[in-house]
Amino acid sequence: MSLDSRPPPGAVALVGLFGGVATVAMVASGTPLLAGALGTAVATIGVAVGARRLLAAGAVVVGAGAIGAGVYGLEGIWVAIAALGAVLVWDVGEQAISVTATVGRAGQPLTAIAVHAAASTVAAGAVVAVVAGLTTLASGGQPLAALIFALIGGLFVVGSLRV
Amino acid sequence: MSTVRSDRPGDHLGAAVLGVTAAGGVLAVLVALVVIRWPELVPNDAGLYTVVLLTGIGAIGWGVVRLRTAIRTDRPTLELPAVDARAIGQVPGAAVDRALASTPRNPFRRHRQRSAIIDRLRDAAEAVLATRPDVADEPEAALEDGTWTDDALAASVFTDEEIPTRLLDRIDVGRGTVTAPFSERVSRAVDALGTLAGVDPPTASEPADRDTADLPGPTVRSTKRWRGVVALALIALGTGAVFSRPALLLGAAATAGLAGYATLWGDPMVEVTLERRIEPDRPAPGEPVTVTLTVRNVGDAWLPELRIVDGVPPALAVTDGSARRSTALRPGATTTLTYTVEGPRGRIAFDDPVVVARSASGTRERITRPGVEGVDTITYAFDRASETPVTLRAQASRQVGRLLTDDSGPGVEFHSVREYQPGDPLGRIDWQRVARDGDLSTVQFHAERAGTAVVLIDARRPAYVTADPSGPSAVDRSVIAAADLIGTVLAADHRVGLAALSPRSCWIAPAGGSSHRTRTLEALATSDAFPASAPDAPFLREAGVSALVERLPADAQVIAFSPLADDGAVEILRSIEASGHPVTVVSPTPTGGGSPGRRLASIERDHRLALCRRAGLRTVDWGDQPLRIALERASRRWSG
Repeated sequence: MSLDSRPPPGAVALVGLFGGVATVAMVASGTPLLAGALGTAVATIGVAVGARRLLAAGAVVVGAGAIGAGVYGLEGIWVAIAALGAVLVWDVGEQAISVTATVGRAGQPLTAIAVHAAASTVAAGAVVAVVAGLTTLASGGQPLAALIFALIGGLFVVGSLRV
Repeated sequence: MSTVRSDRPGDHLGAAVLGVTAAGGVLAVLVALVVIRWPELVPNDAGLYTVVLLTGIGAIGWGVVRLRTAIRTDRPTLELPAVDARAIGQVPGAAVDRALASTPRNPFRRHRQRSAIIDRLRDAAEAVLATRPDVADEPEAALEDGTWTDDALAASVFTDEEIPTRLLDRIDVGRGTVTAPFSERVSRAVDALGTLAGVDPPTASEPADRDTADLPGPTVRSTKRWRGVVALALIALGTGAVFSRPALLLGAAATAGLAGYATLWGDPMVEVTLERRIEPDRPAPGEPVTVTLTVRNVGDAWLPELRIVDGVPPALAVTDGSARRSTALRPGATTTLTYTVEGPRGRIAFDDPVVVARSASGTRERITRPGVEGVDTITYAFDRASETPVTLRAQASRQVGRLLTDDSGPGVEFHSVREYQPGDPLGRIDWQRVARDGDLSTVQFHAERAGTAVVLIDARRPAYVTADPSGPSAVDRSVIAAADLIGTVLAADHRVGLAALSPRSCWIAPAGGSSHRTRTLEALATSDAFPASAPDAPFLREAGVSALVERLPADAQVIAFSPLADDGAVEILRSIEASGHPVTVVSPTPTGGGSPGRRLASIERDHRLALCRRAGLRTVDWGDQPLRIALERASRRWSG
């Protein structure tokens, strides 16, 4: 018996769902919406066939769409949701490919994928709640010094993450 | 379940440096919030925008570099054993096929590789041509001048012509021809030799080799799967700064926040117990066996992701269900894997399973090899009735049995009539002749005595060959057939012993009776001399054969099972025959497939069978058919 390393349809649907959320969040931005839709389609195909690089390419396109939407002037909360959607596309898709490559479809991979996706979604939801609070502050017109401090602080924090 | 190493990113910087960096970053963000709340605290100088711009570009650059690294760097892929299919024997000729499929760039290596193939082909060709004087009187000369075959391409293998490797170099534009590559010439030469040797062209498809990666050792490591997320946060941060888009800073903060969540989880702890049950634990050869592996989380922590791969040894094939499982286990919870395996024979021990636990974010994973309670061995027992009739060679002991000898004596088949001698039983007097001629004469019968046979199994490393890596090896087939044959011979009141050509010793002296049968079959099932996988140790031929011949009773004949996969097998069997013990070789066919290497191996084996026959050994070429049929066909040839 050979190992069937294609993730189960449920995992593919989850990736499509997160990509869809990211794309819907970009609706108001116009053109970047296309990047969200295209990236979601590529990532979904990547997961369906178990191709990690295709999934990565799709997630990068969705992420690029989120950044493009921010440049186009989309509101902060929607940019955050779109960016988190791109991250979840990668996170859940990679988890699905990794688990299924190890245990195969016959090894009931959906439980581990679903539990992982649930944990990541809860975390992303908490992050969105925090961002929604910050949105009231970052409405534009703040002093440049604040931006500089936020920027440098962000770089320090991100640089210290051991992921 | 011990931690061997940790490769968490940033370990080389030290926790203090990372802590100070993170604290500085948080402080800067807090200052930014303060400035946003009380903007009058700092002057709003437009020149500061240059700083923002440069910092933003720097962040984008850093993010792009990290993104490239994240995409290009392969994350550590978990290499777990391929437990789903069998992988026992070497495929005869596979080395030649591998060599033909690869072309080393180094010209010296390439020359050495081709020379090795040509030498092997030349040996086989000379052996075949030696049996075909109608084709060539002098094999060596025929090979040199190419007269041994009509196929010029096949003949060109043995000339000294240099064949370019690259296609461009093989194209002769002037003549409009393309020189055939080396592999094609070898293939044609093998075909031509096969035709001369009378070896049927095989048609079987090429079976796939099984990946037999080593099991990973216990370790804790980073999966590095969130690196791209950090890159996205940096690019969003920089883009937001460059384009003055606060929304992107929020997007960056959200992304970095999710990456921060991924770092919250520490190394997963794996506190599990495993129990394996096997039903039945003493199956008949080839009988399916149900394996149940129960995994229980006995720790206090939730295991958000657990991957389990049971240690199914290469000798077994999973035929139903799966020996792999992924799940999440809360404290006290269990998961059960149930699957079916099939193996040909022998005593086969399971390895410890591989258990991989990951943190909820999947950032860290721990790989362990926990021990298992319960049964860890399957022993295939030989309990079935025998059904393979075999005729022993005419070398009998003095004990009464069912082997028909050329000597006169007690029996039921007419042998001759001789002059009456005082003391002959009255019942043996030919009374018809007395009535006709008045002469007293005595009827004699063929004496029926017990034969003494030793079943010898070639279990040296070269004998572990198979046409299909996922199927039984020649040794598997030999042992199973030997068990059947031993039962048959013992049932015919002969005496049977057991021996092995193996690095591990196996000797059961010839005897008869049901208890001897049980002991012999148990040895076949469990002896280390016939392991399910090829032994690493070499067989010491001189010492091994000498010891065997010394042990053989004077009247013993040998029934040898060998795939004749190397010349050493022929030499061993010929030396046993030369020591005065008639040898019958039962040779399971390990060759098959249409590749040049396999066809060459088939020709070589055919030649070895011919050498055995020439030395007076009886041979049975045992293909895919039941041994009973192969024996019947061979016995017709022996009697004819």
